[in-house]
Amino acid sequence: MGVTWNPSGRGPGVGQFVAGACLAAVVAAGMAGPATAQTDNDKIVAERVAANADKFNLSMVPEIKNKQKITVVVESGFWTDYLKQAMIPKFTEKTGVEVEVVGMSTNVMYAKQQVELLGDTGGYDVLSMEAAYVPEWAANGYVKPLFDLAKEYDPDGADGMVTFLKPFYAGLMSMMTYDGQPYSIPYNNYTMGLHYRADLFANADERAAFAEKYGYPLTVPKTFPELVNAAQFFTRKAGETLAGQTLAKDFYGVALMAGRNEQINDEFSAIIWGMGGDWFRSIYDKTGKLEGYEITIPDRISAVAAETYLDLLNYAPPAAKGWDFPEAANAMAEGQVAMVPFMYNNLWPVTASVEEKVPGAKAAVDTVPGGRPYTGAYGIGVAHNAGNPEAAYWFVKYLTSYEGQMAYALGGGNPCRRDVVLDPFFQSPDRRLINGAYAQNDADTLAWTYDVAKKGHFTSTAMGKIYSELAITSAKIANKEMTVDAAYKELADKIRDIQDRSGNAPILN
Amino acid sequence: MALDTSSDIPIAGRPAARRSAFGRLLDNDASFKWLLLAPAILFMLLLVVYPTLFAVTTSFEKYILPRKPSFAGLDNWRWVVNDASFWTAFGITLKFVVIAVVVEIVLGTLIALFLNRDFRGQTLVRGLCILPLVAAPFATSLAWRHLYNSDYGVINYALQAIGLPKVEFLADSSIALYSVIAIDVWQWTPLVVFVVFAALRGLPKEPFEAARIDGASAWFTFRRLTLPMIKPVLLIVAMLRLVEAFRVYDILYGTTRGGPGTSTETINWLIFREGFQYFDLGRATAMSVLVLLMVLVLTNLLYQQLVKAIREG
Amino acid sequence: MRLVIFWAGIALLVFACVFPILWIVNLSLKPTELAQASPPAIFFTPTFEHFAVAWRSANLGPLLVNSVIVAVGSTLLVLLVSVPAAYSFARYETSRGHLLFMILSTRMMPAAAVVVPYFLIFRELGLLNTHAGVILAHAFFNFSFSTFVLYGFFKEIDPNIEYSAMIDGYGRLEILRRVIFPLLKPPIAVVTSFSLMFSWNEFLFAFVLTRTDAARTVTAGIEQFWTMTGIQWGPMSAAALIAIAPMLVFSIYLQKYIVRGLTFGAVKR
Repeated sequence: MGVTWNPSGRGPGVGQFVAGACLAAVVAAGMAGPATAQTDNDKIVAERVAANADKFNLSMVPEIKNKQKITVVVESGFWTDYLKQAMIPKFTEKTGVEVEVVGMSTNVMYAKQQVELLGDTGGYDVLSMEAAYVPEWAANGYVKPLFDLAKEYDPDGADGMVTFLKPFYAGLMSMMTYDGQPYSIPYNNYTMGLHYRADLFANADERAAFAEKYGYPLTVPKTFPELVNAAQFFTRKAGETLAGQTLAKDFYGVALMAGRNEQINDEFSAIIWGMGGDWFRSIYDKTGKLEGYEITIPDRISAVAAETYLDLLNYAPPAAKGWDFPEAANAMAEGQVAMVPFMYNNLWPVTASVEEKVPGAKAAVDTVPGGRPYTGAYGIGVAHNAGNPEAAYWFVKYLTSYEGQMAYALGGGNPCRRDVVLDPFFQSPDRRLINGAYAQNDADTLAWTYDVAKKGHFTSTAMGKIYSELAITSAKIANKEMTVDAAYKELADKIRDIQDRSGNAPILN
Repeated sequence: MALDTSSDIPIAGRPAARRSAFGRLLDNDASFKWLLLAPAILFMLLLVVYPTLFAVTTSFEKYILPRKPSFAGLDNWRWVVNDASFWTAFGITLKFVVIAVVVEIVLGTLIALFLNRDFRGQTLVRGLCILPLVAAPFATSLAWRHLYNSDYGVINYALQAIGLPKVEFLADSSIALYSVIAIDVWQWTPLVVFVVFAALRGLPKEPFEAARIDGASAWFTFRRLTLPMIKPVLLIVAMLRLVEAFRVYDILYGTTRGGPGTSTETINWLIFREGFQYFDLGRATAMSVLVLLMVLVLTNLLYQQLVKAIREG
Repeated sequence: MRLVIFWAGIALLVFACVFPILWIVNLSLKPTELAQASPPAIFFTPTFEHFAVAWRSANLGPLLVNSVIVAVGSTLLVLLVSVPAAYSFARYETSRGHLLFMILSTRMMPAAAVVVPYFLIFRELGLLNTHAGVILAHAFFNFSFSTFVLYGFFKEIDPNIEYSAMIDGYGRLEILRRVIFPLLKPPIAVVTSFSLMFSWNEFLFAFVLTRTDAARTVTAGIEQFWTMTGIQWGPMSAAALIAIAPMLVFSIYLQKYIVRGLTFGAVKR
């Protein structure tokens, strides 16, 4: 079928033109140079690394004997791009090992990698693991224990690895540990915070009106009733005033991730945990061995939590029932809501961008109401059947080193090492819109140090599946498809079913 | 149809003695017809028979990857039959399939009738109308996601411009399913249009001339003449669409993913979750076999109608 | 008046068909800050940066090549298998329609149930993350449709032509070559078009059976713009456009064949 000139009709001509234009644009623009912001970041990283020469960095990687190419799974987005453009070329230059990056959206990370692991294809050397899948993959032997890897390939040995892991948050490390061995090193901290419009909370008129209506001063909500009140207070229709200005569009108190995604249950978790409750909790015997789990729902706490969530939904945009975290964060960025009460702090760059979009807006972050935000991290580890475990190990170490996490932070990520998070460089005012949530996040992540092990959430090997069921139940409740009690009962049965069928420890009650 | 006589070998008098064993095999009708089917059968054995057998046998096993399978009798089946979410999903799927296919057939036929005339630019119009069909469903579902959005979507913008309230196409559980059906209709109606159009073009002119002379109304002509003649085609297209609609996935992936709540969770989505996220193959295959049986029944019904229509036609 | 209604109808029809695709073009040229602007921006200074980003990030070059290889490969395989099969069914009613129905029913199995055994077989055969694996999977899909359509066409062909050729002394293969094949061009064009199209647009299997860019198709590659900070509308639409553009252009030619040939043979002349 050749390309022919058809003078009788515009059809083929238009089609060809569009296709041709696209191709030309691609070819032309594709050759364009890389962003200059990146080279600035490279300089900063180099400076910081030089200033912290005692910490492990790329130059300390020894000669890698196995030069086989490694395949690395990474969450898609700026990180994949940065890896491909900056970090991997450096790694390849130093070690002579080529790296192929496979970017995946977080939606499909679990399923896709699981498939490869089950298929025993050896296709991925370095895996991206969310806290929820670590126990499962570790228990099934899909991931190489880090200490074993360190003993085999690292001149510093397992002790060296212990020292390397010291700056990481104990809570996050605990999630990446199974049976005493760390299997993955966290690099992306998604502990939640309450992101809010500080300018609205500081506005004198609003403060006066709030105090008059509710009888106490307007403060950043620390309890759930305070949250509901503030949400209710700030929900206004178009035409009403907000902070002295007339609203052109409806404004809402909160943005929620109430869509059919696995984030709605994170919001439920934050509320349930904040109220002192749980979905199911881990029970250990005297020697510290995991005996099993006790399912606590349905109980009064979880019922009140559900009712609170339903209340909050009244003060969220109707579209929230289809939202995932990007949309919820964007709602604040676009100036549509006063607060996002449960927002992953690694999305701070998005919520804080409201300052650039809405004149007079000021973004701030605080601990979530209840003080028990959903917490967790993405980590990377080495697959059990990696073709080149040696290079994979060093890649993992490089990525999570001070140097690697520094680059990650500069790009807008939320790192998991305290020495990077607390670095004064990120505290400066001009970095506020990108790294401004670090200090708050630090405090909140630390608060989880001891509680992580108590939650079934972070210890069950069936958590990947249970997590999905939590999301479905939460979505059903939010959509009023079932009564709260019936939904929780159904969920309890499902958790029992899943844990019994494919979990590591039995349900004890 | 004339024989292609452009070859240089004379037509008559080719020696019959040169028949090889293979040639004899070919000559024999009975063996020839099976020989023709040989590649297809091989193909089906590998890609069809094996997965089906696998599905059927696994449905009787407790098989949760990566553990080894163990015989579980009717456990999976009992679970499937009792599982509320399965039947809800089945109901949703049935609703989706019936509405989508009926709308596509009716709308497609109407459009085909509408286009069944010669007009200037008809090639261009037809070329443009086929676009929804050829664009990857996954890609277009993402475009629809943007269009449906209640804040920045064009559809809501248009609605508000004429004074109607905003509609949460994808976030309102009572209409999310219809929004998704609309995407499917948009995508596949062109297929019906073109198939019916081609059939209309192939219809004999005389009966219609006669009807026109006799002063028959458009509706009468359609009901008594057109419809019976294109019935077989409509049934075939309905069958193909039915089978496809049961398997809808790409559109859901780009838009609702089973939500809000479980209002767009179709059977395929549920099975995919069970088999591909939970890796509970026993349950996933039990559900699949059940669905397969139901689809077979439905398709068979249509097939019988089709055979009848061909015989009558 | 009727003319006005007619043309209004045509305009509406064309608009409905084309608008979502035009919107993809719109999004791909729209600067990022306008992507989620409300009210939606229809006029703006276009930027081509998204195409560059998409091309680089998603590594679209190799993906396009993969899509072509897979589409062509699976179409050839499908033709190889379904042409003789359809002929057999049409001329001899082999197995009296049962096998034909079975072939149609191959598409009835929910994809999720088929994916896992495919994955397992392909793993054994070493076909994971290869073109061959995806080709086989796509061929499976298109096989039933092809066979059905070709069956309809073959039924149209008057058997007497073959009989007279046989009487004239032609062997089977000769008949196939000289009599049947020339008649096959339109239906094969139709089947080829649909098969190429379905394979190009297929998402699920291409996504599951491939791991890296070595074999991933361009349609599966769009997925990765669904990132943590939101859907990157610009690059994703650019990628989507690059993914569907070949088919769009291709279809301008395709519609000729469909209009000419699609009768399924079930309509008596």
